[in-house]
Amino acid sequence: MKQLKKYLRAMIAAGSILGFASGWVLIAHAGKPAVTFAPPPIIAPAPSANLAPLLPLDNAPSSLQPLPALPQTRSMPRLRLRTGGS
Amino acid sequence: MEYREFRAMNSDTVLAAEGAKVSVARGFDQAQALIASLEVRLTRFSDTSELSQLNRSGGSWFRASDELFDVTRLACDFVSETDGLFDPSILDALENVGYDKSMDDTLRGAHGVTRPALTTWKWDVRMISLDCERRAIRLPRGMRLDLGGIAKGWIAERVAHELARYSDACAVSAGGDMFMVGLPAGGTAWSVELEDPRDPARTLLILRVEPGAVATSSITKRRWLQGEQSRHHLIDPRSLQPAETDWLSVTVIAPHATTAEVFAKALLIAGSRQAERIAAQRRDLVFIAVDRAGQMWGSNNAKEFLDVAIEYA
Repeated sequence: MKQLKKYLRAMIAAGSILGFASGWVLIAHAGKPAVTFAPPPIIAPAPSANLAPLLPLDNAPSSLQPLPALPQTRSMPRLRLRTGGS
Repeated sequence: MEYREFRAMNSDTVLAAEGAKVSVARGFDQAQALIASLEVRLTRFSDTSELSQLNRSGGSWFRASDELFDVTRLACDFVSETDGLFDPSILDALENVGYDKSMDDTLRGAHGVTRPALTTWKWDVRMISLDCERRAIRLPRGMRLDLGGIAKGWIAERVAHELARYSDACAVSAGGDMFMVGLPAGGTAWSVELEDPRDPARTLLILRVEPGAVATSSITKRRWLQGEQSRHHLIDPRSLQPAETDWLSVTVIAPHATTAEVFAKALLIAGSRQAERIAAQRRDLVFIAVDRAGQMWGSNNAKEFLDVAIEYA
C-alpha cells in the first residue's frame, strides 16, 4: 500500500512538471499575435441647427427690407387686436 | 368673436374668443382671475409680491413658485441668446432713471420723480443659481430682477391656453404682447393692427398671423421726465441708460410670447446696424421695425405677414 502511494505521488509530480514544461514550450514557440491598434473614433461637435454662420458686419448682406404702409386716407373699423408696445 | 377689455399689468388687456357664449363668458372670468393672480406674484411694484420677496433674498436660497421659477429661468436663458441685449438684472438702473413705481403711477406724478443718482453696476446673470429640483433661486447679494416685459408675455401665453379650454379659438393681448390659439371661424389667420409709434391713433399696417405670438417694444410709450431729461423704460444693459436707438418700435412674430417680447426689446436696443447681425443669426425671427421717419423695415420674411387684401401706399 505504501509503495502504491509513493508511486502515485511520483506520477502526479512527474505529470505536473511535464505538463508545465510542455505548456512553456508550446507558448514559447507559438506565433505572436498581430498587434492591431484602432484609434478611438473622433466625435465631432454637431453644428447648431438654428444658427447661421456669423458674417462680419461690413460684409453682411442687407437683410432689412423697406415695407409699405397703409394709406392714411383709408377708413376701416379699428381691430381690437393692436400691437404697439406698452 | 366675443371680447373683454380691462386694465391689468399696467396695460390695456384684451381677451378675444369664439365659441359657445356661456362657455366663453366663463373662460373670460377664469382668464381675468388668472391674470390677476399671476400679476400679484410677478410684479415688482408691490412689496409683498413673490418677485419682491425674491429680490430681498439675495445671498440665500429662495423657494419659488413654479411660475416665478419658470419665468426667471427663461429670462436667464435669453441673456445669452440675445448676446446680453436682454437682461433682467437692470432693475437698479431702471429705478435710477425714475421708473421706480408702476407706469400708471409714474405718469400720474406729472413730471415724474427726480431721484439722487444711485451707484449701479453691471451684474452678471451667470451669478444666479437655479436649483431645478427644489425650484429654488439664489440671487447674489444686492442683485434684483425686473421681469416686467417677459412676465407679461409669459402670462399672455399661459392665459391664452387657459382661455382655449373654454373656446374654439382665442387671443390674449396684454398691452400689445399677444398670443393666439386656433383660428377664427372661416379664417386662415388672425388680423393684428400695427400701431404707428409716432401717433398711436394711426395704423401703419395690418399683419396676418397664424396661431402663436406677436409682441412690440417701443420707446415712445412709457416715457417720463426726470428733471429736465426725457426718459424711457428701455434700458440698454451695456450702458445701463435708456437705449439710444434709431428705431422707435420693433414688432416680432414668433412661436412663443416670451421669445417675441424679448427679441422685440433686444432688436430695438440694437437698432438698425446691429439688428442686421441678429437677423443673420436668427433667420427664424420675423420682425418689423419703425424708424423715426415712420419708415418700416422688415426682416426678409416679413412681407409674407402683410395683409395682401389691403392696398398699401
